[in-house]
Amino acid sequence: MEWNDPELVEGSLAWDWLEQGRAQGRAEARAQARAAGPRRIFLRVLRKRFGALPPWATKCVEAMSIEELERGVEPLLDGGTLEQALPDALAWQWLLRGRDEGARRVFLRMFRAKFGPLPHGSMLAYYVHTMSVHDLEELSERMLTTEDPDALFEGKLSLQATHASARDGKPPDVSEG
Amino acid sequence: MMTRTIMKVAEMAGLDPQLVVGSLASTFLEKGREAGRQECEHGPDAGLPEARRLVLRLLNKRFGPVPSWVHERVGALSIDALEELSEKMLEASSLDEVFG
Repeated sequence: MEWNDPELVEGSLAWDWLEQGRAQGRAEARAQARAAGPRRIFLRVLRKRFGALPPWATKCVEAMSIEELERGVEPLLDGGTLEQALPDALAWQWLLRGRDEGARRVFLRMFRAKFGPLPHGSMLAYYVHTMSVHDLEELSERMLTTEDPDALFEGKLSLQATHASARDGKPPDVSEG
Repeated sequence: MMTRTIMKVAEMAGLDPQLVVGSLASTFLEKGREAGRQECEHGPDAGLPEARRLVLRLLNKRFGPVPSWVHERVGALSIDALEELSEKMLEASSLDEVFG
């Protein structure tokens, strides 16, 4: 049954379902619109306090209702940790960790299969764990067409540099790019 | 078209009638929902009154009852300006500092 179905006339069951769905969609969009202002304020204060947010925190803020956002800003101004500032922080962390873990393992497996075992002291595994799944997906795709593991990162992340940083004992900066 | 008719047809076709009605319903509900969401797509200024109200409430809690000039100032601010103002509230210790 499709949109242009002859059964889809006013008063039919399908029509009722459509209308019911439409009303729900409108209500959701309006609630979303009302929450947009408070959400921006909440996010701004959150970022000012904690810097760039991990993916789980972004997802969590996206899911917060207007009431949660309004209630949440004030304690945020007064201190506390990121986990305390967000409702169900632990649940979101686990949810995204579980989802991301698979992508990371697949990426590392593919990388090893193509370029051999990771060199000793390589911080590639560390990098992979700090990357977003979106970036990992892009890298996986690029891996199919490149023969040079350094080129894979387009110079943004040289494997040599990761060795040097590993010797210096400080984690390299991966937030840019 | 009535639920009964659908269920009868489904039964004749050897399908679980409840399942058929349920999946038809959810298909249409979902389509309608998508359409409804698109109808009410919001612009960049969405939630501006709510943002102003929130900022006024925060100012009130932190610095006590807000004077009328603050009401006026906040009432004229864009969302961007409201965001900046809330950021300032992290460090400011007086209303003058926030609006300075």
